[in-house]
Amino acid sequence: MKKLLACAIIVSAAATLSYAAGEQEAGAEKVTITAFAAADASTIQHYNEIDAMFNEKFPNIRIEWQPQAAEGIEEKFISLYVTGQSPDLFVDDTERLLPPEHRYQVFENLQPWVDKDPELQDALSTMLPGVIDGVHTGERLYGLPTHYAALVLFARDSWMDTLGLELPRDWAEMRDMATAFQNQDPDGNGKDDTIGYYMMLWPGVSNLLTAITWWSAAGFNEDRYGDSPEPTFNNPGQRAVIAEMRDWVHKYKIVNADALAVSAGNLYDAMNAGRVGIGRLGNWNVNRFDGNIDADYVPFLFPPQTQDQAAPNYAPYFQHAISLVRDSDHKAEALEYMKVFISKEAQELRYDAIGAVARTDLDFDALEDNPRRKFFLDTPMATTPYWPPHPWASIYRSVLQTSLDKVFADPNADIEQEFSAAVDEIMNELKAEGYIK
Amino acid sequence: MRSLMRRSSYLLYVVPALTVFLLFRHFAIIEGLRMSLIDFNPRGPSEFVGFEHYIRVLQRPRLFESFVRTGYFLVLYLPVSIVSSLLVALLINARGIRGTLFFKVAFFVPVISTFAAMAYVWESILNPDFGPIGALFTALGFEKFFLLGSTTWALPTIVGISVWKNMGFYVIVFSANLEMIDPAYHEAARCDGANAWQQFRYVTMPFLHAAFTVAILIGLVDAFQAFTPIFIITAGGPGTSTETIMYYVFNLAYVLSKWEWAAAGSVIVFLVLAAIAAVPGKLLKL
Repeated sequence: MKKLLACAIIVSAAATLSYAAGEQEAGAEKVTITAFAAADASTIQHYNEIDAMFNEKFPNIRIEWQPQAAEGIEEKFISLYVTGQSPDLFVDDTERLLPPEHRYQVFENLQPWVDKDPELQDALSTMLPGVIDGVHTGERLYGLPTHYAALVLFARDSWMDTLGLELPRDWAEMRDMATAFQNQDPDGNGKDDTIGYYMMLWPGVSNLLTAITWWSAAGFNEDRYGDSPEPTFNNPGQRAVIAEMRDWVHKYKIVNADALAVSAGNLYDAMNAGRVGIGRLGNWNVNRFDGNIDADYVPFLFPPQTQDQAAPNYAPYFQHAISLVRDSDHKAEALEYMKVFISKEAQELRYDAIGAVARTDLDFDALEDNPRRKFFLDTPMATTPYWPPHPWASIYRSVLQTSLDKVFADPNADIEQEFSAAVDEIMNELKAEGYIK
Repeated sequence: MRSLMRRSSYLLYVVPALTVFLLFRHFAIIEGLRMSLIDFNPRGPSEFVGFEHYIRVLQRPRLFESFVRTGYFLVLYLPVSIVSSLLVALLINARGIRGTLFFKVAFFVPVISTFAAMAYVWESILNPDFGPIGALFTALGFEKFFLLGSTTWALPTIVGISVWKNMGFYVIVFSANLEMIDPAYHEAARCDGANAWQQFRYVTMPFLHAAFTVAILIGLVDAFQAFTPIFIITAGGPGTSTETIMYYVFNLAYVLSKWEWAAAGSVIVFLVLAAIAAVPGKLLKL
């Protein structure tokens, strides 16, 4: 009888506990967080690994990724925002996060959340100061850094061997190398099908980015912008940089013939086809390039304009961040996900996937043995953000972009005159918008 | 009363279509007009500013430059589209030609294809390093030349791609009109000794009035709304050589984030297009 009673008690206790657990699970609110991102299938796969990590802690919160093509993503986002249909999170390059932030302050200011959350404070304390600056507009913290992607150059290893060339130390040597790669059949196939230097001057991001890479390399990046919005780029040094770039296209003809109308996708096609001698290399490109041309390339920093130039070498960078949309109905839940997204474990996954992170506290020696990816870790680079997070940046960028378009397209355009007109236009716009008096 | 109801019953048939049209077309137009007159605030009250945005937009030299470029596009696009489509339609409908349906379908396929995909295809074809046109130039001993990289040739190239893309539509319009012409008129003309040119000039052409009207008006709108190939292939470049008015308005909205300026620019484009469209309308006695 006692045994029977004991069994009955155990069964009823188990039933009660099971019911209670079931009640708790059913009671936990199911939430779906929507996330907008410029991402391909492999990136989404990487995000899903982070989601799985997050769901171990928060099984009731589902992350719904809405992958988009990079082209036009900010336009889509703004359209959704103004019609009240925006996602909870937007993960992208700060270049694309900033315009909607500047225009409508669409993102939650995370500073108050950080101030009361030690976990977030710890995470942010491990990051490079530069990437923290990059997610601020004034006092507003509009996102959390996920990674920054540095840009350097590559040169084909076997082509240098074939032609007996060394890595260039200044622009004259780099021009000689590009000329040899373009004209001396370095791949030995008997065809005139190699590209000396792959240049992207397509209006839009490519054009400015290429120019900024060269500007930065020449050590003029401080002059490009400062805390004051008044433009300073119309100086002899920067004009010389642009004149040199233009000569590579029109005078020396040692760049791809479609340089004036080509975007990043074409670089990958040309690079993967093994036809590019010198080109741009981001840390996120390495794995892909390795597979396509048998790692037959050497990364190097953009050389200074002249060997006696005191300016250091620079590598400009893109910065990516995750931002919480101000209108989100699930801010607390989304913020929990953001914390996981920038956690050390997620950053390790991220480094493995793309070779770029924002945190500095990872064990990179254990994570990396590829010499081309190690280059980005081992080389002391003075980095500069691709574009400053100032509210006046879009005006500055738009005008400078048009000015560069005109200068690159026309070999006879007077650079000083074009830049002078651009400065006037920027000043007029800045005055009209109230940024300067 | 019954007669009135019978006469107005057609309203029942047009109301659904009209509702959709008003909702998705006219509402957007009215909203655009409203936005051009306010300082838009998506999360609060918007301030009425009158014609301030119009003044700001009209002060921008690039607006006028892009209008001129659109005019250039129009001058190239309209005659080339209409003449080439008419020629193709005449060939397809010529006596003794077999497989008319095949040719109509072949010319119409680009019309129903996505312009974005077609733009990428053309970009590849024209690529001087990798495309067949580049290979042809090299094989013929010419220097590599990139049509889309030339400030002189980029816009005509975009026009050519647009003509190729839209030609099928105009071919169908002309073909439909040609098929409506009673063969007896041509037989009578032949009996009277008219040669092929005279038959075309004095018999065919007068019957094509409706097709020309449609083609010219649609062509005008096509030219003014040229955007997709420019957005995908050239982004307005090299320089600003392919920046048409619609691309410029797009830039105002999405590069400068000036939605109100873009709305004002759109209204200006609408007014200009309406004024221009009235000219052929008047000439063709619509």
